[in-house]
Amino acid sequence: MKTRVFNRWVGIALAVGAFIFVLLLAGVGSAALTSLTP
Amino acid sequence: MRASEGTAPQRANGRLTLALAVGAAVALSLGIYGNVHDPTGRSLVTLFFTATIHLKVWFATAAIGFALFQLLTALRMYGRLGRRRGPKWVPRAHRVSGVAAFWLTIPVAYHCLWSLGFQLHSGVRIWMHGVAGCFFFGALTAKVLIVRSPHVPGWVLPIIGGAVFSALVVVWSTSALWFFRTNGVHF
Repeated sequence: MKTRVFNRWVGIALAVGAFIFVLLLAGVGSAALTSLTP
Repeated sequence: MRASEGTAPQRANGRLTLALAVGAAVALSLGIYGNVHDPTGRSLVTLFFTATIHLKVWFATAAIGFALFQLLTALRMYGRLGRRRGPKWVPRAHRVSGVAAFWLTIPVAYHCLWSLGFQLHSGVRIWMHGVAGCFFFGALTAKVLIVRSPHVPGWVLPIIGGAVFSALVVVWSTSALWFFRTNGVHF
């Protein structure tokens, strides 16, 4: 059971990372990131 | 001959082919994006570093550290390092370190593609860096898609895992290592 939950979280973490990567490449959030540059 | 015979290997082959096709699509998409997209030449978030380039080289170095840890834990899991397959924490540590390495590469790859683009005619190092970078994300995608897949031949995962690791080594050598050697170590 614990292994299953762990594997699910690993999968979610990878999927979220890939989703953020695609969003960034699509231009979503780029302005927010560049505005943080000193 | 029973109808179910040969179904599992066929399914495994189908899954493997699909994973490799998706991986190839990811690698190609990134290369095409980097080539078609007009490089902005702008910096991104620096966090606690003095410049985005320093953030990139250190994030990439941390990623290669996690990748080395992945290699060692994979060898341990396959019984090639030490006795038997090692303690229970090894597979978990392997997966967590993989996720960490992936997350660290996201801002680095994003800045490369968005700010610099895929440069075909700027020298061998930059060309190799671009090709290996796209290949890395494609191979990583294929690996993630088949890692939990049953019935896939035992040789597949070490081959794809080795390809992912090798690609990351090329990416790091042609960027962070080159930067450290030419500009010194800065934060």
